[in-house]
Amino acid sequence: MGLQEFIDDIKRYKDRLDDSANLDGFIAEVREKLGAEKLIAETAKTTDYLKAIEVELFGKKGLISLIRKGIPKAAPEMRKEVGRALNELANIYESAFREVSDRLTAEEKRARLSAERVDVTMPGRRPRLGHAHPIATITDEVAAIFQGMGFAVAEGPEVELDYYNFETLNMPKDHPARDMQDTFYVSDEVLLRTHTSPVQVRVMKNKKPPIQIIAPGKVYRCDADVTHTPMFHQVEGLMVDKGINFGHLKGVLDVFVTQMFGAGTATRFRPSFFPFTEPSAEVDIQCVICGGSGCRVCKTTGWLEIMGAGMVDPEVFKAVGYDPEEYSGFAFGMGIERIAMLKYGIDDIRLYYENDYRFLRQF
Amino acid sequence: MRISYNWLKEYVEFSLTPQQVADRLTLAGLEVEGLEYLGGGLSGVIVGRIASMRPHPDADKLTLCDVETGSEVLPIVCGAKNMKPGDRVPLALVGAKLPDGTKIKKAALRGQTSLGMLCSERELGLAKESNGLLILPEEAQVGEDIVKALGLDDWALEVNVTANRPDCLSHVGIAREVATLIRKPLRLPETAVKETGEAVRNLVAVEVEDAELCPRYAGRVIKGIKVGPSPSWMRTRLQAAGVRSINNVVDVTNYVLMELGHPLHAFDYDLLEDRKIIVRSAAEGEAFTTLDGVERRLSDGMLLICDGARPVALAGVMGGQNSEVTDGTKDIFIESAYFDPGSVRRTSKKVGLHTEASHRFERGADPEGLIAALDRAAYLIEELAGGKVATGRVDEYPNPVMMPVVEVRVDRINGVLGAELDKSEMADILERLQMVVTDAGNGAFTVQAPTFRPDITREADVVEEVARIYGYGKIKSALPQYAMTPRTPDRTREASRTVKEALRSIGYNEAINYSFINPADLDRFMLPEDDFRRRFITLQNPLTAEQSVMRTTLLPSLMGNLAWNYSRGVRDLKLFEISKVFISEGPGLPDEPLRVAGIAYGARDFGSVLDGKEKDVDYFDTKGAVEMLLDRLGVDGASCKPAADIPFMHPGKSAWLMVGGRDAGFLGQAHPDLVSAYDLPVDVYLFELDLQSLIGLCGREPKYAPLPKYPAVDRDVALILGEDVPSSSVVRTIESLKLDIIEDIRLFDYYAGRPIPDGKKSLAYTIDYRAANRTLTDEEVNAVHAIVVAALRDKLGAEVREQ
Repeated sequence: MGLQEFIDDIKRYKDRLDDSANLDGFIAEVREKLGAEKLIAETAKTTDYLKAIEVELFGKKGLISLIRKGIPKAAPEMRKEVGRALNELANIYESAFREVSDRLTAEEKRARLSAERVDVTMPGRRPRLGHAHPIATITDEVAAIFQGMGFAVAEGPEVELDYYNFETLNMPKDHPARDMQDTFYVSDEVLLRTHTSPVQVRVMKNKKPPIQIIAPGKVYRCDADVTHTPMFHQVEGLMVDKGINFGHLKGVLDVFVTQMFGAGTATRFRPSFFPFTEPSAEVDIQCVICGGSGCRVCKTTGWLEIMGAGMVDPEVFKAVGYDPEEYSGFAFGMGIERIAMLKYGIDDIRLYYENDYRFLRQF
Repeated sequence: MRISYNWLKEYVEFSLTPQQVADRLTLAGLEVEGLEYLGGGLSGVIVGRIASMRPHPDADKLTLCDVETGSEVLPIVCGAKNMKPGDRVPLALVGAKLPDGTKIKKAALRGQTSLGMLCSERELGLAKESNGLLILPEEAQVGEDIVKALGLDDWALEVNVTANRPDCLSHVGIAREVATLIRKPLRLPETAVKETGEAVRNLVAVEVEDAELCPRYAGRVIKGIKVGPSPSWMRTRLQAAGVRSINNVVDVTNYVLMELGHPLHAFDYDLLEDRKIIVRSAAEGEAFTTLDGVERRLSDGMLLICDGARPVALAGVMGGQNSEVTDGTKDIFIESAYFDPGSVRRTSKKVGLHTEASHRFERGADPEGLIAALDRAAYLIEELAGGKVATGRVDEYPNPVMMPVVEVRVDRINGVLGAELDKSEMADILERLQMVVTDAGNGAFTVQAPTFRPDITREADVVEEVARIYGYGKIKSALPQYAMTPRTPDRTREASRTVKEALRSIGYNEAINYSFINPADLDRFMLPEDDFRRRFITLQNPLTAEQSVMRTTLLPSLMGNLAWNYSRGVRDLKLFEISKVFISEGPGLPDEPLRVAGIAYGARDFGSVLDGKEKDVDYFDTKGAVEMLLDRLGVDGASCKPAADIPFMHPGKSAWLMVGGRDAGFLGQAHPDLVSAYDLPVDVYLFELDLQSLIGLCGREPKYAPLPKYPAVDRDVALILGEDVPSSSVVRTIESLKLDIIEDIRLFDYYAGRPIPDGKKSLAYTIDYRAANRTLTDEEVNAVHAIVVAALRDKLGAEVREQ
């Protein structure tokens, strides 16, 4: 049975209503024959007829209203009963109608929404953020680790006096150790700093211990090949106080290594030589590529050299006016390019300074 | 320093593998950077003997050889010419492998079967270049593996000897370290010379004029020697240490250098005028031709070895051509001396000659060990080249080198190391290092290092030695206790980080460039001679002209980056850099102000397929970037002033950024001439700001204003203005009326072109009116708005299009 037929039935009952004196029986018949709730539930497939049904049933001239208008004409003793029967009928229709109406509306909404579609796999429209240079990122990471241990950041000039870069660091003019650092000169006394150690000297000359600083920055060496660029970045650190010893140097650098390269990364200290520290050490970490089993990057040794370190040489303390009997300290220095290479697997140092977008966008 | 594993074993007995030796040395501060098996890649090559040979019937350049292998005779076709029947030569059998990867197969060369190949030094990987076959010595055992026969069954350890350890620049020096580490005795080489010649004092007289620069000079004379090739054992040794064999005399001096580490020099005795040696300083401008045939101009302070008439060697650096040992030399004088390290270094640097000798002398030779080296050389020459060694040595030692006696405190050592060694452990370590240790009581002792350890002169040096041998690995890690010291935040770093974050958030990528530029870059920027950016710092020794001056602006580097990227297909790009620039202030240190520069070309936001083609960046993107950056820094009151006078900027689309009445930089479009100088076919927009001075101006803190209680009323006004009237003058005109109910003035529309007349533009503004204490009535707002409109009309000549 279609909805239109149901509407026609309603209309037919409405027509018959005028003849019906027996409202009570009429309501009962409507309730039985018209089978509204069942009918609506079974037949209604779209919302198209809902409005018509609503009008025919509940409208001002709908079946319910018409019956209600007939009540005053009913026998007085029947009116109450008729009213109750009508309300029941109305309630049945209403709840049936609401159910159908809610269901159909929900179905139609679902159908409409499922037709509104985007290709969710298309690229998102996202703001094009710029990328940080990997050297800057690693420098910040290194600095943050040491700042977490109470080190302050210090800076100094990049065009520096020979005096601060070499002489106060126990490297007088004819010292063979100067060969370790090929130097760009501006004049006999002025040069491009070869390390950030002169920052340490300047800090010590201006301040009494305790000192706990790191000095990040650009440094320059007159050297260019596949493993060297004439400018690169260092972070050096210095801690001076009473009673600072080599074990403390190891402790602080162990913390750095595990925070930078992951817990459980082993550290190895082995003797070396720097004019400004004694004892001096090279610090190796367990190869982060092969985990120590030996690979091309660590030249099969299982270890990677990442920094130089040592106890500040007493000559340096004398040069800055500290009493080496009263104070001791350690210093360390690392190349940021190398750390970045190990962290990110970069295999060509020249990439850092080409600023090729295809490189930068990866960081 | 290249160390032969087999050679090392001559001086100390050990059962460590080459890898174990390398590890022990590395952990004792003598880093082994490379370990190489000398016979690597070489297999299936034996000593063959050429039984007979005849020309190839069909090829002029080939010879057919019958080669004995010890068990059979093989036909081999050979292209070399330098062999003769009876010669012993390296024979690569079928199946042999050569270091370059070649595998030997049975072959037929022009119809003749060849069951192997005869090899040259190059083919065996022994030399980069060689002529003809390697002819082996007579004593070579036919059939023996070539790896054994040539002594290639050996390992080379590449030891990185630090500048403080001249004593380790030799096999005996390294052996001494190994002996110390494994507690084994050191066996020194034989030095007992057979002195059969006449007394040396009758043969040569040595006079040291400059005892400061030459504290000791010793020598021996050997007469009647025969210069010739060295025996194979010596050539093998030298080869393993990376030295080419020349002749027996030169080889001995090199051998002793590699063995004991002391540089010697052999003169042709008969070429020494007056049989005299005079050690003196050079005169300024004196000329001298060194062994390498180069005439060198000397200067005051360089030390010369002279004979009775002329210089014969540049002391400690290189000998002279005039007294060189040649094949015809019969008599020689061997010099073994100690020169002042600083003087050798200065001389070597000045003349630009870095030699094995100068390398050792400038680090400090052993003033006592030089006698053993001299005797060892005389011993070996007598053995290999014959002749008679004159009796005795000349030995002038006018200025004895004394090792200081260093007082060392047990507490100090432990204090510096954070260790708890006792006195006897320390003494044991130092004695194993051949130091003289004396107990000085009170927890102290004195130490005197041997003369081959010039690096041990202070207590700190002794501390390091104790730690080095004890082992850094055994010192316990600990975190220091530290008194908290408050510190003020670093504004420069913080501001730099703020700027970086701001620029990255709008698509600018961070660049880092070299601090050097090409001075020609400044010409490309069309900078006049008196521009401050031409006050650059010039490097004395740049690597290239492109990197010869320190940059005074970040823009040349960034323009270079754009060109680099464009040529690699990057069509949209924004880059920024924060760095110091260097402005010369005369002879001292330069000014190093911090700059920030940004540069962009191509699409504004790199586009999205959903939105169609994005517009390209323009002046207002750049200005927006700068405004945003200033806002994030908290710099107020900045404005843009037209800048037609920046040579490398577009005259109509550039501005000075004015802050606090001064310019803090500039922004706008790069001049098309600049852009084409970098071969860029696109419009480029850029800015460069003096970050240093902006940091000085920043620091605005947010200031709270109560939220309004009464509603605002807005009115729009559209103006038709002359093209040249800046939009900022509209705002300034309205603000100058000081009407306190005007809350905000916003430009919301700009239009030029029809129907707006030529030379005019239309600007439309929204003005917000609000009173803090009441709701404004329409009448009130209309009255004030009329004042605004009238002012714009009167003061700017604006035609007001009523809404």
